[in-house]
Amino acid sequence: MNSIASNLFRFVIFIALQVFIFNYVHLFGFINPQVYILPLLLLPLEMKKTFQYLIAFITGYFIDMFFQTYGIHSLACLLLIYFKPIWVSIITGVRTTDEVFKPLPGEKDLKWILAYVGGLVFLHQLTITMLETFNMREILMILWVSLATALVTTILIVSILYIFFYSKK
Amino acid sequence: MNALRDFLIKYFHVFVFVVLLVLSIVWMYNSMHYQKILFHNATHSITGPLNQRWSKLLRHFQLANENEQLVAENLKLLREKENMFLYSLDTVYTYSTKDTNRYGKIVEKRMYDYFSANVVFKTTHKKHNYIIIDKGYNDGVTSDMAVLSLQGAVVGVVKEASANFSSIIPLINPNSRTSARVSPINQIGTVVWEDNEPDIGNLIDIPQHLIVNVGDSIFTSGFSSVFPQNLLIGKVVDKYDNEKNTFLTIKVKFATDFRTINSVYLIKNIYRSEIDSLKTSFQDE
Repeated sequence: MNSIASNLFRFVIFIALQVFIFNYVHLFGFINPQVYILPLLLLPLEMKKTFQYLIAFITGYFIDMFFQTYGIHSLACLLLIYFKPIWVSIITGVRTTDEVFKPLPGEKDLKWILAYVGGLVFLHQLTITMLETFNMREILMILWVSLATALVTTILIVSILYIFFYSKK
Repeated sequence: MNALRDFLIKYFHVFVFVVLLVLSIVWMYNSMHYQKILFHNATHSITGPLNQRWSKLLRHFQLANENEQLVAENLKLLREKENMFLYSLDTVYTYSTKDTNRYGKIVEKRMYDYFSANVVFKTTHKKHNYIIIDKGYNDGVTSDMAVLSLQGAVVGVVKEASANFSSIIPLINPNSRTSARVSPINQIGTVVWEDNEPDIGNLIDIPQHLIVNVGDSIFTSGFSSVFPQNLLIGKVVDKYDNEKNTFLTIKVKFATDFRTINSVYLIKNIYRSEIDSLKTSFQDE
C-alpha cells in the first residue's frame, strides 16, 4: 500500500515537474528533456504487464494533453515499457535473476544505470522525434535531435537518481 | 477451455498493449494535422497520377455535353455584343453610345438575335457548295439569316428553311455575295468566290488607288441587313493590280475553316421585314 502510494506520488511529482519546468527548457533551441519517464523507469519489472502498459499510457496521455501532441507521448511510453524487459535482459546478460528488480544507484553500478537509462531514453526520444517529424527524408536530423536530447535527459535522470534515490544497502 | 483461459490470462498484457498502441495511433492521426497532410501527400503520390489518367479518359465521354454547354454559354455572350444593338447616331455627342430616353435612362434596341444549330451535311469541294443544318422554320429559321461559325466568323446565308432543316449558301459558293469592309481604310467591297479553293475568296470593287496591305482584316459592313457589322470574314493574303481593270484583285483567306465546322450560329435580324419593305419601294420604280 505504501509502495503504491509512493509510486503514485512519484508520478504526480514528475509529471508536474515536466509540465511546469522541463517543458520550458529549450537548450540550444531544440533540446527539450523528457524527465517525466523516470517513474516509468523505476516501475518494478515484476508488476503485471497489463498495469504497466496502462500506467505508461495514462502518463503519456497526461503529457500529451499539456503538450498538445496527441498520441505521440502515449505511444512512446508504451514502446518504452514494451522494450524495458528486453533491454534489461540485454544489458544484464541472459541469466535471469531471482533478486527484486531495483534499477537504483547503490544497488547497481553507474555503468549499468547509464546503459539502462540511456538506452530507454534514447528509444523514447527517437519515437517522439520520428512521430513529430513524420518524414524519413530528415532521418539524419531526427537521429541528431534524438541523440542530443537523449543525452541531456539521461544526464538529468541519472543525476536525479543519484541525488534523490540513492539506496543504501 | 482451461487452456484457452490460461492462454488469455498469460497474453492479456499483449492484448492490452496492442489496443493501447492502436488507440494512440488513431488519436494521433485524428489530431495531428501536419502528419495527416504528409500522409495524404504520400498516398496521393501513388493514387494521383492514376486518377489523373483515368479522369482524362473519362473526360472524353463528357465532351459532347460540355461542347453543347459551351455553345449555349457563348450564345449568351454573343447576344450581348455591341453590334447586336441599334445606337443613336443623331448627334455628335451620342455617337456610338447607347440611346437614352427622356428620363436619361439608356434604351437598347435589339436588332439581331442568335440561335445555334448543328451541321447535318456539307460540301466543300464542289462548284456549288452548300451546308444543311438541323433547324428549320419550326425553330424560327427563315431564309436570308446570317450564319456564323463558333469562332464568330462568317459562314454564309440561309437559303431555304424547311420544317426541321435549312440549307445554307456558304461563302464558298459562286452565288454568295457578301458586303465587306477592309479594316484600316474602311473601304466597302464585296466578297465573292471565284476560284474553286475551299478557303480562298476574292474581294472585289476596291479601286486601284487605295492601299490594301497583305494581312488586313476584312469584316462585314453591316449594310446588307443580313449580317451585323464587324463580323470577321477573313484576311488579305494576296493582291495585285490589273492594267485593264480599274479595281484591285484581292485574295481573301476565309477565317472559317469550312472543312471542320460542326456547329453554327444563326443571326436573326429582328427588323428585317421592315427594312425590306422600304427597299422594295425602290425596286418597283
